[in-house]
Amino acid sequence: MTTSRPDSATGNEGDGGRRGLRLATLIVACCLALVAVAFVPAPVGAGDNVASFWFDPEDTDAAAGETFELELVASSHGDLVGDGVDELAVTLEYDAAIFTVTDIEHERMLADGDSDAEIHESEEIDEDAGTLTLEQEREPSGDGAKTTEPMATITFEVASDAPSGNETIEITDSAAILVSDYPQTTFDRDAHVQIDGSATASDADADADADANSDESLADGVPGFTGAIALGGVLAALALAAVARRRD
Amino acid sequence: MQDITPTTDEMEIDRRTLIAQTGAATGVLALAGCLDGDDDEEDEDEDDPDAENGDENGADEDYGDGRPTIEVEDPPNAVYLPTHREAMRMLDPVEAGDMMLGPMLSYPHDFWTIAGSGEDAVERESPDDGRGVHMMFTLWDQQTGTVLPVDDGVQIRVYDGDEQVGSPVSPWSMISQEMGFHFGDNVTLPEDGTYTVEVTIPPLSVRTTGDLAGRLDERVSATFEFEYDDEFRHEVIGGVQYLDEEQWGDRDALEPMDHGDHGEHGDHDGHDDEDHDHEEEHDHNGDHDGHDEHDDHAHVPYSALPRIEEYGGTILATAGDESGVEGVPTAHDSLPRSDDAAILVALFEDGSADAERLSDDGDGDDGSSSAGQYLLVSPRTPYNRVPLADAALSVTVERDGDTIVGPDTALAETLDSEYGIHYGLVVDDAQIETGDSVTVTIDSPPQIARHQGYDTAFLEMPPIEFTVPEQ
Amino acid sequence: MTLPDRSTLSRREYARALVAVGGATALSACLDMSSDENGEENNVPSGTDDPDSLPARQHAWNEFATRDDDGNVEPPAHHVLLPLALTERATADGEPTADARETTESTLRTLERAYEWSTDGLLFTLGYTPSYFERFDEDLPEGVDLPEPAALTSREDPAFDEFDALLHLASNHPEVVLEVEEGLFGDQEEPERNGVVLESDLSAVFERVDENRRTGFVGAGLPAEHTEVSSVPDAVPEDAPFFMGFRSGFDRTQASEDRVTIDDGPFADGTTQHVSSMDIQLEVWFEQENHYQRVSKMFSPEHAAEELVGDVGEELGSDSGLTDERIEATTTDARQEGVVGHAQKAARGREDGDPPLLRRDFNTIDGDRPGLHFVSLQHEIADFVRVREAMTGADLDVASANNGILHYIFVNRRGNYLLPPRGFRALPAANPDA
Repeated sequence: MTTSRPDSATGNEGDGGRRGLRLATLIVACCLALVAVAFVPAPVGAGDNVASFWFDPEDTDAAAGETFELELVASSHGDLVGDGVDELAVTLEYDAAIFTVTDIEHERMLADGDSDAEIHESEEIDEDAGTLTLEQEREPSGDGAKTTEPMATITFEVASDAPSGNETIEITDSAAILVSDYPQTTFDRDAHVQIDGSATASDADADADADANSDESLADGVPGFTGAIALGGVLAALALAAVARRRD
Repeated sequence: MQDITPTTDEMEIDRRTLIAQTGAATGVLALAGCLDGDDDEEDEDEDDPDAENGDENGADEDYGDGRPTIEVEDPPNAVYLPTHREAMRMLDPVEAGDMMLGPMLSYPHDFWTIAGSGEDAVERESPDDGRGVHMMFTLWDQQTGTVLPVDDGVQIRVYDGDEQVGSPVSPWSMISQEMGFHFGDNVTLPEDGTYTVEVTIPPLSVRTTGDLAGRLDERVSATFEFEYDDEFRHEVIGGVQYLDEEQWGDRDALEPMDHGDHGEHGDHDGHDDEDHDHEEEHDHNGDHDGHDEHDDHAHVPYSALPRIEEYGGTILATAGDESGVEGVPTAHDSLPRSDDAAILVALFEDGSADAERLSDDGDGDDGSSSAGQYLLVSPRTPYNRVPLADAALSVTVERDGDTIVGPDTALAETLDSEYGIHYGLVVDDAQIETGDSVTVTIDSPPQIARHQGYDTAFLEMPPIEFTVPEQ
Repeated sequence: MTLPDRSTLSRREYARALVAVGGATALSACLDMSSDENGEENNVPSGTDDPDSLPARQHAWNEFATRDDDGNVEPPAHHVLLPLALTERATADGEPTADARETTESTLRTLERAYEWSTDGLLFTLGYTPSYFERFDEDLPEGVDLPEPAALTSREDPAFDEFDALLHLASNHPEVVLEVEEGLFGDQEEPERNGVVLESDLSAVFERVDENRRTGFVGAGLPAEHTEVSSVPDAVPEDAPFFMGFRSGFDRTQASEDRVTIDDGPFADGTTQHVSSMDIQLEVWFEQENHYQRVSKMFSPEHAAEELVGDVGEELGSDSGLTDERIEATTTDARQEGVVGHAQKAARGREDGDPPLLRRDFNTIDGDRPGLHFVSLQHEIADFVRVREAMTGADLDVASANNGILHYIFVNRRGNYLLPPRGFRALPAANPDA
């Protein structure tokens, strides 16, 4: 669901941002209502509840030859019994001609509620295909994690010959497994990267603007939601695969 | 649980292969807005007081409470659309004496139990343990195909090999939009494995008529097995279909599920199944035409009552109820409602085949020789025609201020092979005539547990007045 | 058998578990526990050398028990039901021998010398099944109603107690019930208590039917301590004396001992006993029902609406709050309320307003599942059947799930017994006068 935008969109950004902001406000109100309900009755759970994954920031600008960081945020409300998740897995897909993953820092979303919990992590990069799979398991499982926190920070490098354009870093598969071993339905949102191609690589101002104005990022993020539930693939990988590597 | 073992590289597996094997497509949820990490300060990290990452996040790095919660906010006091269609694994039906038992398994989830009629009498049940299943089964008579919609004290015992798992359970009689009347409960399972379930069914104690009279009077049992494992869990979570958020809480019901259908959408007549995730379509009768065909034994029948035009007697007219519907109902839509239960009342004249059948429960007390008129009251769900069993109803018939029947004569809950579960009265010491007013009082509402979407209806049910129309 | 892990259990919970396991090792662990606590063994009051000082009725327990502030009898805390089958050598021509009788009587007298006849010492009854009496040519005398046990509802399919006898041991001290059992049937060294060595040849007369050995407990707080047992939810109230969370055995809902006693014939001063064993589905009861629903189903809808009960029944004093009106309202409640209470229904089985049953039931974790051994004494078994039918309420127009507590109980066994008077407690003939 990537919509390509004209390169010369800069002039309209202000208006677009405001419209987006109004939309975002409505959506936030809707979220609040739901959240308010959710805290009153018993926790809502597996199948009646979902886990979600998105990037922070969801929209970013980067120039050819530069690097940028994305936090991969994981969110779960736990299940009907009040237990959270103890396993996460996400597969990202990106244009391997444009991006290279240069660093992965696993974060501690899964350790929610137990700062002593160990997180077993693994990652697998296919540089040719442009995929990255991250897996994490919490030990001991305890009550699991019920929070919204980054699970990893990923550093991408933009190829020095990258042309200008809008690129998507897509979550093609994701899984969150509850302590009960039931998976949660997951929702994913992709990240969008506005590339300043090699020809205009010197124009660094846009970068700074985007970073300084989080409302714009938020607003831009709304239409970027893919709406697809990714459940299945990585789940099985999680269930079957032993964790490959531990964090130092 | 899988063991978590720190491993070496050679234990890595090709995840894309696994993804390819199991990456079954799932539904689509229009939850975009609510996935947005909101910026409100109030509700962040409420159940996460010791979030150790908090400090690192910085002022404008607020991840908010972007956790979408799937909950119908403030549902109407009526039947409403839940958030999703449940997914379940259907097992092969097994024989239990003259009956068939169709087991269905889903993930443990909430339901509502009823004991009485007030607000306190309703309790939302959450699972005790996240591990386990929501175990359900439908019972039906092999001979007539009638789904048995009464609670007579069915029991289940779960075994892991020879070992009994937990205490025995009397599952709740329940109604759900997708499954109609069934029995079910959340059952905790300690670990993955193959479980055996023994179901015992006591003799039917409800009054029976027609081809059911004098039958199903023995205690019978049946046994089935199921696997509880990752594959099951992924199947029943992955198969959940969320409705568009804007539909949640709408006054409507999910159509009956396609029992026993493996993968392909069945042919719901009158339904547009292409558009499964959006509009709930009604046929011209204004109801969901369920799977009331009982001739295919591979399928589990759905407990839909007959359509209004299938009743042989006189359908009583509404005397102007709160819904404003008046006159003789001709379609399901135009039946009067009491707390959203559609109430059909039919009068069968003395000597008619229906009256004779319905008057004869095989006990001899009110056999055909002493039969009179038969008054049938059939409360049902407003869209799917699921019978509302285990209520208590009474009736008062008046003519020009005189009480002809009653006041408040109790109706007998009756299971008829043709008209299903209803509340009936053999009128043998009076004659109900055209123009009489017939007031149906619901003494206590259906004492059956409910899945989401039926939990706020059929609870405080006002009486409804009918009149006997011109023939 | 493996002993329970003491480190994970409270003292009382540990004691319960030891009684459930039984045997010499459990006894020794139990004695260790008692002496740990007191620096010496618990003082259990000693018995009497004068059998004539003891009551003629085996079931005369009430005046040897303490009473609570409301005047309700406090039953002994620990119970063991020992099913017994006559050995071949205890019989000649099918009937018990004089030797077997003498061994039995002298064994029971040994117990009476060692322990005071009280809840603080030891209370016991020895009852006999219809199967036992079948061996005699003559019938039981008129006025003794002891039919074979039968299924009493359409939903149950119980096994029946078809062995010969049942020894019910009860004491507030777990080590007492354990050491008595060990003394009678153990193969280790005989225990000694209050200077009396518990030696006995009873194992020559009876074999224990091990698979039907049953144990249990009663008393405030005891059920809540079993929340470690799977299927016993955490929600059992702390103060609740019974698993289902409410008090039971209110003085005015219990028959008196006089009421249940056989008045004439050779078995005068005896009584009949019904023992049924059942699973209780506590997870559903506590996790799926709210307090209002539980009170409605245990007592009556009116008890719930008018908040007559309190958390665990403490508001009820010495009766269950069942007025004649509430009892009579049962049929109407079924229709109007859609739910009826267990106590309300069962009270319909009263005769002239008097409760016919003297309940001595207790909770159990036998088989690691919560359950109830329902021990009840009545003048005749027909009294029990009548109350049970009233409690079943098949006549009521109400959904099974809302028909009292039927939804939560699963009867596995039933047995009927005659408890003869003390004078005929050792292997009586069917008609000792004949």
